[in-house]
Formats: sequence, C-alpha cells, structure tokens
Amino acid sequence: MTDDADKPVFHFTPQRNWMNDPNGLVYLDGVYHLFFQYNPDGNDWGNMSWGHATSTDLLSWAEQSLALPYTQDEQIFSGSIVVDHDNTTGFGQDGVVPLVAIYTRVTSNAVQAQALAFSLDRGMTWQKYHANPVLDRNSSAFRDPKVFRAADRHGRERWVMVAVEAEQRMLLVYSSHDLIMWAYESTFGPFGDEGVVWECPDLFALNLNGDPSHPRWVLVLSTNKVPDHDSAAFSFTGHFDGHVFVADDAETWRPLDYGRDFYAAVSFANTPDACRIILGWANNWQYAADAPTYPWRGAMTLPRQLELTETGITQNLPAVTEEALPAEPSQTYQADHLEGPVIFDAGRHYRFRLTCTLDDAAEVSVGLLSGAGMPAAVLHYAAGTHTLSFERTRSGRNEFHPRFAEVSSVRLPSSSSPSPSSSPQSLSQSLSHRLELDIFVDGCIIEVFANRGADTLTMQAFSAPDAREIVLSADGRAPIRARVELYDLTQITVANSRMLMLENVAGPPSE
Amino acid sequence: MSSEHARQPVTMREVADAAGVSVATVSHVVNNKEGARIGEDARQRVRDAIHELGYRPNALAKTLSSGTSNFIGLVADAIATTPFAGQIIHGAQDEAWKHGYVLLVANTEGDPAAEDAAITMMLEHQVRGILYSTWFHRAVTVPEALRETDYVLVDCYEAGSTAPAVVPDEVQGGRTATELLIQAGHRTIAFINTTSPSPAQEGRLVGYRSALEAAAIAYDPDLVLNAPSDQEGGYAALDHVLTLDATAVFCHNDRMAMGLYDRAHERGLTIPGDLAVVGFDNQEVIAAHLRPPLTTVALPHYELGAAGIRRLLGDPNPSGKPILIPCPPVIRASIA
Repeated sequence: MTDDADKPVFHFTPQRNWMNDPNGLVYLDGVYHLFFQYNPDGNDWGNMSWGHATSTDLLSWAEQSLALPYTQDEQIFSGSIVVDHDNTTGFGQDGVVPLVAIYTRVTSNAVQAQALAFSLDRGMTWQKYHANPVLDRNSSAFRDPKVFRAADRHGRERWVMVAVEAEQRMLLVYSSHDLIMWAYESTFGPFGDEGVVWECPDLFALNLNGDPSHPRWVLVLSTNKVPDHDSAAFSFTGHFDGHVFVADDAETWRPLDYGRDFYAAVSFANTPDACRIILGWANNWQYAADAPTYPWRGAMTLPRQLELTETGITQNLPAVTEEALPAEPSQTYQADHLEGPVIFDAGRHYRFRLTCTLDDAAEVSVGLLSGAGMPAAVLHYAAGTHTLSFERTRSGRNEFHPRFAEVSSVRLPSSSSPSPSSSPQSLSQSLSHRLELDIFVDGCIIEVFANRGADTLTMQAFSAPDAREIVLSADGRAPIRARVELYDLTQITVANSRMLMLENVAGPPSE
Repeated sequence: MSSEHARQPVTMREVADAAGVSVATVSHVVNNKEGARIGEDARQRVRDAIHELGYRPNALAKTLSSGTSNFIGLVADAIATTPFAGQIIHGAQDEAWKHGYVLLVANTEGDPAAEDAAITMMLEHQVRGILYSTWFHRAVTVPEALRETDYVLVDCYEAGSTAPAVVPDEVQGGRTATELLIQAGHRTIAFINTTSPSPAQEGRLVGYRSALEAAAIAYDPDLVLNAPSDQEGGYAALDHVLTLDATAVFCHNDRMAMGLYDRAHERGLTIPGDLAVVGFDNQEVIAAHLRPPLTTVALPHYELGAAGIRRLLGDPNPSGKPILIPCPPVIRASIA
C-alpha cells in the first residue's frame, strides 16, 4: 500500500502528471502495450504527448519512458497502433515487423490531421514518418484515428481507418493499402443531440454468441456534451461491409457503462485468439481537471473483454487478467436472511463478489470506502424496479466540483429470471430475483460488473484514507439470501510486477 | 473546573448553593425564562446570592434570545481516554453538527465532583441538552444536576427508570456472532463468556442461546465457560474448550480472542482451519491485526453517539425503554 490512499494499485495510473485517453492499445509477443494521452510537464491537460506502459496481465503495469513527446510545432493527440506484419509501410528493416502509430497531430495553426510514427523495437522508441501528415482535411476537429484490417467488397484485406469530425458529429471511414495513401469511403452521422462532440471511435466485429458464422459489427463512440462536458461512451451494433457502417438503430445510444467515469474506451489490436479487449479512461471531462489527486491525475479502467449475445454486449475481465487474480477469497460470508448492516474490514484494494437471491420487494445496498459509518460511495439495488443506482453524495471528498456528487442509475433487465406465475408465492419461491455484483475497489476507482458483465458501472470516489470498510445492508423487511466473497488485492501487483520484469528481460531485440 | 481558586469566576452552582435552589432555578431567574414556575421568595434569594457573590452571567448565553445555545453537552466517564469508545464522541459530534449544534465534551474519569462541575458549567452555557455516557455498557444512577435539562444516557441506562437511554443491543449481537458460526456449518460452538456481571454478560448469552434454538441446535450448558474478560482469560480457556470437541468458539470480547489465539498457536492449531473464532467489540487495534484478522461483532459506538443526539433532539421513543442500537458483524478471516 502506498501513502497515497487514493492511488490505484491494479488500475494503471502514471507515477506523476496528467493522463487522459488510452491510445495505441496493442498486444505484441506476450506483452500488452498501453499508450496514453499524457502531459509530461504537469498534472493539468496540456503539452499532449503519448506516455507508455506495459503489462502481461492487464492488471500490473510498468510505466515506460515517454513514447511520443510533444514538440514546439506539434502536439500528439489520440490514435491507434497496428502491427504491420506485411511491412506494407516499408518502415520495417531487416525483417523486423514495424509497429505503426496513427495519431492526430495538432500543429500551431490548430489544424488536426492524421500522422504516422513507427517503432522497430517493440514500442520502446519511435520515429515520426518524414512526410507527415498522411491525411489532412484542413479541419480543426478531425481526430482519433483507429485503424484495423478489413476486407473490401471483393474480399481483399486492407487497412481501414475510422476517425471523427468531432464537432460535426460524423464518423469518417477511409481505407489504405500502406497506411500512407488514404481513400475516403463513407460517413456515418451526424445524428443525435447537437452540442455534443464525438470522440475516440472504434469499429470491430463480434461474433454473436461466439459463433463465427454470425459476425456483427460494433461501433464504440465516446461523446462529450458542450458546454458542461459530461462524458460517456456508447455502442451501436450494426453491419460493416468494409466500406460503410450501418447501425441497426442509430437512435439508440446504448451506454457501454452506466457510471460517470468511463470514457474514450478503445480496443487492443493484434490480441491472441482475436478476443476484443477494451479499456477506457476512468474519468469525466466535467470534473477531470479538478480531481483531487497529486502528483498523478487520471486512471484507466480495468480491461474488459467484449462478447455479444442477443441481449447485448457483455463485458468481463479477459482470461489473462482473471488468471492473475487470486482464486481463493480472503473472506467469505453468507446469510440466509440478510439484515443490515454487515461490515467487512476490506481495506482499499479488493474484489467484492456479492450474489443475492431476493424477493420482489427487497432492497440491498453496499456502502464502499466507508469510515466511521460514512461510505464515500453507495450502490443500491431495488429488486422491484431492477434498478442499480450509485451515489457518492454522502461523504468523502466530493465537493471539488458541484456535479461530482450526482447519482447514477441503471435498470438491469437481465437481473430477473421470469417468475413461473403471477399468483401469490411462498417465501422461498418468491426469491425470484438474482443479483450478482462483482465489484472492484482500488483506491479512488470503483468498477462494478453486474450480472456477469451484462452491465457495468465505473465511478471514482475520493474518501478519507482510513475509510476501509464495506457496509452491506438490507432493511430486513423482505428476504434476501446473500453470499459474499472478498479478495484482498492490496498486494496483487507486487507479486505480478516481479513476473512482468522477468518477461521484459527477454524484451526488445534492438539494444 | 474546581471552584476553589479565588480568581475563578463565580459559578451558577455556587449561586444555587448559596440560595438553596437548583442550578436550573438560577438559570431561569438569570435568563428570565418564560414559563418557569419559580416562587417570588426563591427568585429573591437567587438575586441576593448573585449580588453577594458577584456572579456575572455568561455573556454569550445572555445574548441569546432563544433561551438555549447551539451547544450540546457530552459528559463522559472515560471515553476520551479509552481506546475504542471515542467513536461515541465522533458520532455525537457529526450528528450534532448536522443539526446546527456544537458539542461540548467533558471527560470526568467518573469523578462525581468533576461530573457535577461539568454538568453545571454546561447548564450555564445553556446547552440544548446533555448526553451522559460511559465507556462500557452498564447501569448508572443519573446525577441530580442532569435532571435540570434534557438529557440522554448513552451506552448506559438507569435500572428500573424511564430515563432516556440508547444502548447496544447485546442480545442481537450475541445472536449475530453465533449465527456467523452456524452459517459456516458449525454445530458445536463454545461460548467463553465473562465472569463480570453486566448487560453484556447476560445479553450475549441470551443471544447465543436464541441463535442455537433458531438453528435447532440443543443448548449444552457445558459449552458455556466463564473467564476473566481479558487476554489471560481467553488464553487459559482454550485448553478447556478443546476438551469439549467444539469446532468453533465465540469469545465474549476481542481481548479474550487475542489470548485464545496465542494459546491456539502454542498448541499448533490453525485458525480457522482447526477452530473458528468470533470475537465481540471490534476493537480495531486487536481485531484487524490478529493473524488471521478476527471476525467479530462491533459495538456500535459511532451510532450510539449519533442516536443519542437524535433522541435528545426529539426522536420519539414511546416505549420508555432504552433504545437498542444493533451490533453489526464485522467480517474478517477467522471463520471457515
């Protein structure tokens, strides 16, 4: 445990200074690379550069040296990285496969255009392409390129880029054979509310129920309202033929996460078994600049592997991350008839798995980061309305911004197994609701995976350093059967980072 | 707070003693409190005493038109100097603050003279009322001076009276501790109770028995031991517990559990593998730092303080009996 009680241990934060969007997420030779929007000179937004961190389990991160520093003439905004296996760019030398970063460069005339940099040593050092930019619309809001391989109508694979005209609320699709020459393909949007900027798009295929004969395409988009800067990430399912994305229902903005701190989520390239893993910035532009942490500011969410079912996208920890977590709980508890409160002396870094069967009229709440009876954050579930809500209004350091303490809620339609009949039921039969909450608390970051990832909720909460209790409670009027497993993760990254260092010894070939 | 030093200002208590009336009467006269039924004779004696002694009413209090200040008093025997009951002050302070009051705290170490002086001074400050608290749950005799204002007993009660009080629910606490063990599958559960007669001794045993009954486990008096309520008591009790074939033990408090741990380690026993243990009190410095950390039941000190304030400020309690504050389980790692 560090002296800084807010600082996460199994979510990535830089040692110091400001961080926002994840960039250039890529897997290569056993290592996951996270690049990120970073200010090397301070803990406010500015001097935008790409920082760099690596992990083998997406849980323990080693911060690496600055990857792409800003210069007097150029800031390095968000973008993506591809592994150019076939050396389509010609950046590869002596058989070394290049990593190519496609980023938005912002020049002093405020033009945002897409540019390239490449690495021949597995992402440790970078050179900019000599003829940047490679795609310029003379726009001041053309940004966040995400590049991937996709076949055209004739089945020929090539590079596809999605990027946004942020203020015009448009997703632009381009294609290229060499990442250098780009051809316009299509535009998706504008639609939805005006006064919103679109940012950080990602477009990828997910197989329905894991069946490769039923691929669907998912567009992930983050939006930021203006002028109050409320941030959120959404998903659209639809069809992509390699040229044009068509959403099943463009009017349905389905939140990827129901908390208030989940933004700019994009997926890893080149992952093993083509699994789709995303992570986001656990923050909200509304109050990010005021977040009361020092000398670091900003954290990433946990990685989430996306899967698609008929009822929507599920998000769960990837197997590589799950395997790095302890299998045996450090504390367990069960109650046939939960009455509150039950206190867990949990510390500030843990996983809390709660499984409940509940009566229709039951309500259960989980106070997190609680000290002296005052939780910094409270999750509350009302079975009658299937509503999971989250508030951080009761205590803790929540006054640094007037809108930080607002309540978030989500209706969990998948939480209820249908009742066999509507007739009056005996007590045991009436425990028809099942609720599973898999809650990760890590300093100031709280992530909730509800009902096996059917819905997620990510929130920050800043609490007193000695706030280390979980308070589980029910009003006792309606029956709740509860089972709890608590896993202490205070030391998790200490053990894992040793492994990480060993992995990296085998690392870059070009030294 | 003693009145023996000549330089100290004359107190309302001294005026009351000189006039042969109560402090409240002096207070009412000084403040011309409406509705106070005070005879003219007593009123005059108070005025005379004030004149003779040179009593000067508290300037702050005098300026208040409401007749009471924004202070609430908290008189404690030893809660400021004992390790874990300080949360009573914390809870009372937070709750008082929410309602616009500031807490005046006096720790008296149980000395009646200090207690009397503290209460008197609080009355002079025209406190809204006084919480009278003890560091462990016990019966008390309400000091006479306390009856001159609104008061609530916190973590104590007056036997056979309707004096307003908030106390921990010892019965529920004992039941909860035992249920934790039953839920984990234990059927032969020893209870090491304290040898000191107290509401905790009685209540936790009642709770232990009711949990067994609810789980259809026959009560076996042999499984209930009495030992001094400290580490030595717990240490000495373990050998006897082991002769009973118990797989789990409920210790009257965390200190006893600490001693029991020591003896268990000496005998090469693993907690919770060989023996599940639950304590009581949630004395943080012990329970959180034993290996494995001790699952226990918390004395709800913070909530006692907060509930005391709510009762003082008008939470109704038609029963006339002490309000029982639940003792929540605190889950750590000593039960399997």
